[in-house]
Amino acid sequence: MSFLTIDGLTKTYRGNAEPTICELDLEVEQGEIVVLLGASGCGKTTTLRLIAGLEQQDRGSISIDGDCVDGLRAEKRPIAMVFQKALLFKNMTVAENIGFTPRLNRSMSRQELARRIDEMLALMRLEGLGERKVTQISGGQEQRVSLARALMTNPKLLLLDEPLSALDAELRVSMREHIRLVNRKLGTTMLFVTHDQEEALALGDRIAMMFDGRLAQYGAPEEFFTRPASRQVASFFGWKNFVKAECRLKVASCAFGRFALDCPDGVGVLAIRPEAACNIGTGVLQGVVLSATFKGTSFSYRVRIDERTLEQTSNDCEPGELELELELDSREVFSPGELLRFDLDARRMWMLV
Amino acid sequence: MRSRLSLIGSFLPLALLMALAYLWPVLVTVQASFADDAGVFVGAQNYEDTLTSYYFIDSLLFSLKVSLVSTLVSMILAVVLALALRETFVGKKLALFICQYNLSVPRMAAAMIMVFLISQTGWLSSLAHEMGIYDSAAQFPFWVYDAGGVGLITVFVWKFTPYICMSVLGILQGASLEYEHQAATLGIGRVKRFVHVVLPSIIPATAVASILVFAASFGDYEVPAILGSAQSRPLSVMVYLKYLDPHLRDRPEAFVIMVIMTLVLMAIIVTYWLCATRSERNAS
Repeated sequence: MSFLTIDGLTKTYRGNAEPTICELDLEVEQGEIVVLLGASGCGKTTTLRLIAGLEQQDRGSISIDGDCVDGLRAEKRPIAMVFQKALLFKNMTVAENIGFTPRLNRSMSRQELARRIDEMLALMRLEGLGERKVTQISGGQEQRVSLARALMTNPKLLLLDEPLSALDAELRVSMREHIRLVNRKLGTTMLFVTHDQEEALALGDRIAMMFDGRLAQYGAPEEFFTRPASRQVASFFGWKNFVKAECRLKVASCAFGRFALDCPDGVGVLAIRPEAACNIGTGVLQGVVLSATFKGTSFSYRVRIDERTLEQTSNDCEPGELELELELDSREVFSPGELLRFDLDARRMWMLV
Repeated sequence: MRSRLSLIGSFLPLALLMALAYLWPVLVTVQASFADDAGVFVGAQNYEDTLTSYYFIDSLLFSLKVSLVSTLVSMILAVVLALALRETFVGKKLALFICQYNLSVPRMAAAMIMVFLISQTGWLSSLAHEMGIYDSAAQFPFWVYDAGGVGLITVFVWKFTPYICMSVLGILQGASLEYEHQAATLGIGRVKRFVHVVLPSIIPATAVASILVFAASFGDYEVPAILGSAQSRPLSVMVYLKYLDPHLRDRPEAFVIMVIMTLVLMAIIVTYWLCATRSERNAS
């Protein structure tokens, strides 16, 4: 049995026709960081609140470390939660905030509490700030205090609800590294909610992608780039091109050619990543550049394919399918109207049956 | 510098108007409180007479008691009501509507309703008589025009509880709830959450609203005029009666009482200001 097991979790808010969470199944192993990823309103925060006990599910069950926590109040669950806002108690110092739970629950002696607070301050790189009022520290430091306060309760499961979204880009990156470091040092199992794909990739041992309250895909970060489960997931992870295709004996045939792919037989949609273009200038496919967008280290091109270079008749294609969005490095630049010759790399494709 | 001057320039006429509208009547009252009924300066004689008068002391204590009890009861009920109203339950919208609608009922109307409802000839008395609880209406408790001020306190509590409740509810449904959830997920139980998280968050707003309620009930005339007791008159009613005394003999005393009431209310406003400043500082 997994450390965290969610089985058939369903939640419908009063007045809503559709469930916010629908038949959600999820398993998290001890010590790993799982990222709940999805657009706003997909149900990821609700899932976290159901696990925390701040909401009650209509159906389904949640077990943490083998114990069913259904019906238990939040304070009785072996969890701690860090919210988007740091929610520090403003009338207290940094140290008082960190020691909030053991002090109120009298679960430690004074000496033990002082020692643990010092340890936490060191772990969170907040040495020397213990006696400061929380109104006198920066946003990043506030979130580290919030994280320290949560870890002081020795939670079996740490829930993080977009804790970095209010921070600036540079601070977010350093906080991600810090959270990973804490995870490795303390071995705390973490469930992290975010809508930021980059954050999910940087933090997650596994990613649980959610759409409309349902789990769309659950796996290692690289799987989302190589084997997306659906067109929605593929689009979220930057797959730009989708074309009708048929797969027979591990070969996918579409308007752009035949490609060796590990896919089951059937008709479906071939997803092509924008980085799939190769053999630039010498390839079989030819198209006119419609637009070019500079993206820092690369250029993004919208290319309309010349039908004469296609293997099959273009009648099989939907309008728009003959246009591809390709990303090429910026060593060679093409302008709108120029002809571009290229091939497509099958390793950057995936068949969605 | 120029922008500061222009700010002061734009604010000055309004400030002067407000000072004139507030200070002029106060100054006139203070001046009249040091004169006899013919307008001749008598020093502190009027104050000495008033402050040693049994009727004044009794009236002052009665007004303070009614205001204090009304404020405390309203405050406690408002917090309980706000805690109940923030929960999800069937009929919550109706309960909220009733609570908000109650604010728009004029105090005089509330006082009149109270007469119809709980006086010895009121509906409750008749109902109790019909049900055989009392043999006659005279046996019904003396709640209106009573020396204890039960009728007055009931109306003030009825009128002011929703006002404090709405102030507290806004906080309970906002930041306080987030902090409560945070504390719950940190393993803090309900009672400790209420004491260490909810109370500190609602105390500033409750204090500010309660101070305003105290000031409003202390200075109110309409409700005491309708429901006040003949034995213990609230200060506002006493002022009115003394001011309208046909022989003008009591008029200086009316001015003295008005000055004392103004001083009490000013002390309350200063307290309110200090509370509000502290609350703002904590919030920031």
